[in-house]
Amino acid sequence: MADHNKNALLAAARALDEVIIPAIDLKDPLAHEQARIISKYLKLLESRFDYVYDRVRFELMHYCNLGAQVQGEADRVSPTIAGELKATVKEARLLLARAGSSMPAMDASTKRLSALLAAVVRTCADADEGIRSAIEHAVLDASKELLDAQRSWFLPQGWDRAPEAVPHLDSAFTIGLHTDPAVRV
Amino acid sequence: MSTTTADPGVFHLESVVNIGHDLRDNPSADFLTQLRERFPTEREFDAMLTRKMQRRPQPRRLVSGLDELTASLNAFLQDHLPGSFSVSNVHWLAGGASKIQVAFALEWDDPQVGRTVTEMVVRMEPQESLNATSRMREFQLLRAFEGTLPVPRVFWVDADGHWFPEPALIYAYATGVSAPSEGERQTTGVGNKFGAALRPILAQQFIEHLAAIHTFDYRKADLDSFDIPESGTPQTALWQLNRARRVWDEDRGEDLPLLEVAANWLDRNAPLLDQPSIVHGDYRSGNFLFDEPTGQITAWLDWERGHIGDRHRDLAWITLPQFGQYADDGRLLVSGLVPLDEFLEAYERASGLSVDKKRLHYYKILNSFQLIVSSMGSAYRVSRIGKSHQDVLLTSLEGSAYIMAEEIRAALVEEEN
Repeated sequence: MADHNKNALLAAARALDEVIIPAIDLKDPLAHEQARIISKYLKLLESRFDYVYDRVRFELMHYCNLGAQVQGEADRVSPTIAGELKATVKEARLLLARAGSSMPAMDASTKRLSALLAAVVRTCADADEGIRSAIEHAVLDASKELLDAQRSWFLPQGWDRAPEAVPHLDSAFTIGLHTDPAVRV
Repeated sequence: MSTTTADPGVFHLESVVNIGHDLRDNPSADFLTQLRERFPTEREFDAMLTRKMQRRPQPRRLVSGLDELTASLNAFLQDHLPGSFSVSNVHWLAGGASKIQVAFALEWDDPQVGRTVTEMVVRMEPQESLNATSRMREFQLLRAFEGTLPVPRVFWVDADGHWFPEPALIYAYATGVSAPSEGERQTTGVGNKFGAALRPILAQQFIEHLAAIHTFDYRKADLDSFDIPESGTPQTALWQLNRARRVWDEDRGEDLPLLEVAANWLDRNAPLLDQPSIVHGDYRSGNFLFDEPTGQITAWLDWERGHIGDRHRDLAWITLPQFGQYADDGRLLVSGLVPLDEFLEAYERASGLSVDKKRLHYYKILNSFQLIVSSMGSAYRVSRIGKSHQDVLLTSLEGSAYIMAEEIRAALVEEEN
């Protein structure tokens, strides 16, 4: 089947570059700037289109792993949050194990997991130093793979000062220092 | 362990997990009150953020066109000028992610020179800006520095958006360029390159002007919209941190646990202030204009982040890699002008003020924290509700947040070791 989505994205970018932008009045620099930004974004999206599902799945895996990892410490700072975290990790594992889990369902689970983890970190600010350090260290350690993947996603925008350190998109969503044995990928 | 009301996590469960788009897009009075109480900051910062949240539920309106702005301008001048006047050549200015800028020519009776034509600029908030800041504070800073630094002459301020659709400032159009005429310009001014001839000329002024800002006697100027932090306390650092934390809670569309780790560290390690200084808040290339043939800086712009606080806030901002360029020998040129170590030494000589490496490190992390809040939180929310004039530019800022997040992560890992 021909990929009409990617074809349309590139055609839209070309239309901007070759027809619309040249026709914009030079006295409207804001219109010029924004049209160029739109063209760049369409091209970025086209180049990443095949990886959208992988990215959503990766983010869920990342937070699921982190949630499982800090479960013990979370229970020591807040049994309430820990209970919610346990249930949400369980739900995330089911989504990851099921073929064809929908992107909105995975996104919603990721959103809840990351929020629960943020709540754990906020709560641990006033906890015993040993527990706080353990939770914060786990987040710092795990965050590298998430940030590497996001940097890979946005690499064409040119923000990155160390592009050579960024994983290629083909492998960005399969990296992981921690693998949750409860989920078969 | 049993779950009781003594569980400190219950509060954070409510305030983090159970707050979503509904409340952030249409904030309730209770939500706003809670944020104000949890994150105390300077009065004017609080006022601007409160105004932002109170107005957020208002319907979106189209970005003001030139006709509307011209009508507002004429109404404003009618009420502020005693004599006859004429407005002409109203046109858009490009550049900048957070403010709308329109240039025009005003024929009027200038109290300083008599009847004349002056090129001016209206600088105005969009309906909601990437950075909710105070036009009154910009007005007061520009006025304070006239005669001390090259700054545009500032004429009037519509602090509450009474004549203009939003709060606005009117100042003289400053001549000059922000980047050499050869080379790629960026919308935000970041990433400009200066050649070997221009660099030393600009660098000297860059350092001297910063020293002048930090040694300026703010007690002698009319700066009543500014709070003065207490020396010997962490107040200024905590005001800045709290402002950023509040904006994160007001604006974000997702959570980033790493950012919470950073917030904890910043709170625990807030440094003491030795001597309050005026801080520009966005001191870098892209925010000054210069005369290309002579290399003389003609105007310092964008004072919206200005406050009275710790000079290390500016020093750390300037030294962020994203605002600089690397020379051929691999050394970071701050703002593309001067190597970092030389800059700090020259600054100390010019200002007579010391550079505290520990505070520099703290503010570097705080600055990155603020930029992540802005580019990942505010940029998302403002573009989502569609109330800025640069929504599509704001959406393009997300990628920059992850670079800064990795820098924070690496810095905090080093702190652990």
